[in-house]
Amino acid sequence: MKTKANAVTSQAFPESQTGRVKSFIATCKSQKALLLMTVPFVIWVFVFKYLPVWGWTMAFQDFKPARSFSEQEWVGFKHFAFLFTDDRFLGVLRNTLAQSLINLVLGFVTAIGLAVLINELTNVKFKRVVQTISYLPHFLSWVVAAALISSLLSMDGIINELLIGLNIIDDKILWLGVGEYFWGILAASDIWKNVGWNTIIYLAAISMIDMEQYEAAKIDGASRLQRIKYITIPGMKPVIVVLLIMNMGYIIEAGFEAQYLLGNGQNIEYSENIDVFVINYGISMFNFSLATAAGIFKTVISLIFLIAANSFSKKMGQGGLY
Amino acid sequence: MLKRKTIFFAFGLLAMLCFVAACSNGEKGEGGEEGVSTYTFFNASSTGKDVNTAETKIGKMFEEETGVNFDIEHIVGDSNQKIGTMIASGEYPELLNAQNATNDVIDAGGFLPLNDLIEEHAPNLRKLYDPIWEKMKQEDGNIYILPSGVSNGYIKPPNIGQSAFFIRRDALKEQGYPQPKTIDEYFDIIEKYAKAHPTINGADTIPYTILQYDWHVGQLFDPPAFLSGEQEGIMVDNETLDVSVHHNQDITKNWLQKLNELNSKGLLDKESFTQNYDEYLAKISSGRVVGWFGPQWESAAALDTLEQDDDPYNDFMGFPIVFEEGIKDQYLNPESYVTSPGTGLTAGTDEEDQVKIIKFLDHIAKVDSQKLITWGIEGETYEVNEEGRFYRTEEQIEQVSNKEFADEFGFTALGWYWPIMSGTFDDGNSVDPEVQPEVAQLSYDEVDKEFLEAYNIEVFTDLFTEPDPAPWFPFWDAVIETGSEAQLYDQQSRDLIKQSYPDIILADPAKFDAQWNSFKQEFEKLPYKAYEQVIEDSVKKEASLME
Amino acid sequence: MILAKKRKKNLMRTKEDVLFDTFNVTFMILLSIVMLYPFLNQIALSLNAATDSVKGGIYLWPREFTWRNYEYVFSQASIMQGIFVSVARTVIGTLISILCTAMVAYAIAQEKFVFKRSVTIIFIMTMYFNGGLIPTYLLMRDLQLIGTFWVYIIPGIISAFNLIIMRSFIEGIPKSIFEQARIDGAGDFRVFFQIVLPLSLPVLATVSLFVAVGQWNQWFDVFLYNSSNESLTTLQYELMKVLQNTATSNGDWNSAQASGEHAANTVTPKSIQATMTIVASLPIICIYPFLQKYFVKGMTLGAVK
Repeated sequence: MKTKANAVTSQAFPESQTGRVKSFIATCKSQKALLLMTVPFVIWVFVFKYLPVWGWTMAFQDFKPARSFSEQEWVGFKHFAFLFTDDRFLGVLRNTLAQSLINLVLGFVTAIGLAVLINELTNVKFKRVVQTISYLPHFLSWVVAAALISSLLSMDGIINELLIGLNIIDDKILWLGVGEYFWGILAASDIWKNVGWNTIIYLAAISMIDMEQYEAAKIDGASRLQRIKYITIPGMKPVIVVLLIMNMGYIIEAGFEAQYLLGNGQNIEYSENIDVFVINYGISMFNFSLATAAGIFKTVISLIFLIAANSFSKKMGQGGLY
Repeated sequence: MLKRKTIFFAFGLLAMLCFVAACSNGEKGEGGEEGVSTYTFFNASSTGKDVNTAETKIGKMFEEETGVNFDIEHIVGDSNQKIGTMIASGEYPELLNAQNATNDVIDAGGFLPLNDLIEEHAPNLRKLYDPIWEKMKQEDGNIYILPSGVSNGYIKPPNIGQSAFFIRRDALKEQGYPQPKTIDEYFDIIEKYAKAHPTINGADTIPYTILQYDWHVGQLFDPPAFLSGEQEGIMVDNETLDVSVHHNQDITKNWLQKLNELNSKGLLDKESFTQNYDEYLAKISSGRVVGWFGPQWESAAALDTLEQDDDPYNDFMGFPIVFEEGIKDQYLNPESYVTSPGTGLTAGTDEEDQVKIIKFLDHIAKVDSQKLITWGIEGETYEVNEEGRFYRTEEQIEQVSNKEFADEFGFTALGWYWPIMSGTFDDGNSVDPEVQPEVAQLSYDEVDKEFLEAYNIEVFTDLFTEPDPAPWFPFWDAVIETGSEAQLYDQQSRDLIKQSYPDIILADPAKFDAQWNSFKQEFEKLPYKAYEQVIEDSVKKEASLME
Repeated sequence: MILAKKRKKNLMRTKEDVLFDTFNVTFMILLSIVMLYPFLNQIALSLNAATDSVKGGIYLWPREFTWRNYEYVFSQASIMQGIFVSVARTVIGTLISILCTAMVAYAIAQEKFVFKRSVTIIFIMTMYFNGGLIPTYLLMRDLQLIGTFWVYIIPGIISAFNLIIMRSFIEGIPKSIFEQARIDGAGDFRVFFQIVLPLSLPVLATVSLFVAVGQWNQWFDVFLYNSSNESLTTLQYELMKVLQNTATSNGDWNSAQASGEHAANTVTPKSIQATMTIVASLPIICIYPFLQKYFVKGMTLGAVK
């Protein structure tokens, strides 16, 4: 097809194009079933996900919900300008990226590690129980979780008692009162809450691995760690790569609940991120335009990271999302 | 086997689908009985139990008299988001209280002008709102919303419900019932007591704590104004009606300096700026705290616990503390003329329905109805003595404080957020039963009386000066336009203060001035002038309308 | 010979194995304590008298035992209806979502599919933007979904995240199996239903869990679209209401003062929150073992003796 199209002269071009179309239609016909499986959902995704994007126009207006589209006041990049020129914006952006990068790296390592360790448990009942328990914190709302974390970290909390008891520190530390600790606290909280939940997908990947591989390796004298390294991890790799790329796109989404609930005046320099900023200056001020502008900014950052991660992965020969 | 299970499952699913489909089609019926109309009242200002008014005793009576009842729906999530969708779609419930978004609904034409409706159909409403009739008018001369709590004469509350400097009773008793007037005297009592009692019930004593979490900012923000004899949160010159914020003024510096000294003496709770609301309440109710400032209602959950335990001396007593002798304290609220938020009829309501609803509201505005929604039914929830004074027996007090009773009776569903007055009835009885001295005094126990006697007072607010009338009060119902600089200031100042005050207070006393100056510099970059201007315009306008 | 010897040695538990297992089991026990504690703490709180809980200091055991918090939660009028709708949306929503997601995932996992790349990109993009609250609301209104049960199901049929996960698992199924089926004359639908679905049970179970938990915990769509339609309320929404009912005030001192809310509260937000946590998560935790068996393998290396 391709070579033919290249070979023909310009006069023959229309003919080759109809030829292409024809063969395309033929392919479609032969893939009728696959088209039937996807087309309805492509329509669905356009209606439910892409249509509402007209709302992005709000970012360029002083949007008032009461006005019709034609009556809105257009203000250009005013809301973006507000966002980018605010004194705190750079700090807010730094916090967002730092918080989510730490969470991303540690979250991946711990979840994969835990999945591997759970998989290595020999007693099936124990394995199931541990796995069930490990994801329980996922069902606590952040309000409850934050209350617990805050009491653990209070002056009389168990963390201070423990560290003093072990002679690691001499004086009690006001953990939430020192901004520098905040990212660490946030990451630890996030891992505690979600690590068990995040292992589920890796366990599913492990369970797709052919058992015979393990047996063969064992017979060949592979040690436990070797088996993990050469069978379990490679078995999870496709899922890891896919998740990693997708999550690179979420680099600008660090969540807001934990930051909002654990944040206070003394750690605000490290806790406030874009989402918290948007709540305070957008939604709670009835300023939907600013919230939308921030949303567009986040989408742009997301797509840049996503595309970069995807092409990097492809270059490394690990395949990509698309 | 498996097949049967699958069939069974599929059948169950089908049944469920049918049921759900039926659910979604079943539109709400327009009132069960002949001639009764049911409307919806969406209340974004309050959370609460969703009921139909006719399911309550009072509501049923109103329904019988007016043929109208309301499904009350309270806000559950973020009110701005909910109201935002209402405005965008232009579909409103018939009656709406839009909380912070009130002005946005008015701008959107979501509320109907009520002036003519009231003049024509609702003489009682007209009378109820007469004191603030002019003030209720928006710039276009229309009245769109009916606020609750229209003042009808001032009555001093017997107990402190609002702000005061509180102190542990045991400290007062031990030091011979002193009456602190200035902030230094107040902190002295705390210091002496804390030194004498390094621990309380086995735990470290917390001499003074501050709550500073989420929207709970008053404990840190408000004292400068109160300590200088101002009425709540902002400085208003009573003669010129000039308005200024106090965060960059010397009174704030003085307050922060006091806290800084307190901290350097080790008397300030180190967790003041990190504790959350729960932790704060737990602290207060543990009985380890000697003193704190704030409105009583903010700590009410903890104070209730202290009141119910065996130790009557771990309760708190509040004082109107000022900076220096000679400053007249203004802790008690004067008559208040709130105009927003309020409840309004929405666009899209049929004319016929408009009249029915306004007549229902008019019925509530009748004095007898007002007594019904505040005091209840004579002989059932209150009694009247020979002089015509209303009171409640101890059983009645207990009965109405039971939430389930209050729900069923209709006190909860038909009180605040409907047209309701505050202050006193024309016969001199208090509108709010809890403020009626006859009711309050009945609830004092032995130790309460011991303290009342020691200070030679009858009720606890006797220590407080009566408030000067302030026709503009409260200042916070001023209209702050969405997207304006004044609105921005509100949030920016809060963020800056939350971040800076801890640094200033916890600083080495030698560095206090430097910290303060750097904060002041930062603060003065904020558009606080714009905010002052908006509040000042509103204060002046309100004052002139109330003359 | 040497090889046979080596083989035998390798089938026994080595020192390294024992060390590894000891470490692993100890670690898991410690981990379980850390993960289990908050939950037990919530159970204790939910069974403790609310006014007593304000004082703090409740850890694993209630101090003043009471069922009051549960009674209060279940005395709310619409709770039962909420449970019913929650179950309905979870079951129906999950089934529909799984079927549709798997179908699209199957299609975009096929190398030969002409629109493989474009369909994939179209879906992936949706993870990183949204049109915002108001446009979405207006869309639901124009589609007349507001006030119906379907507003819980239709807008969320396919999540791009789940779709990609599912695709990457389906891509992991050996191609030879498909080819054999095609040679036998099976069309795509038959391959999908008879081969792909049964072979993907682990990922189907995983994604079902994601969707089901998402559906079960959802309250925001109720808040936006169906808040005034009591027959379509859900458990989480009702629980939110209960919680907010008990929160003393929202900073509006007038309401706190006027409605006498400080009067003898027998429940507090803290204890209701704990009760809610238990009520809302128990059902999901109960069905968990049925899904778990698909992705936590029973047979492991250790079991191969």
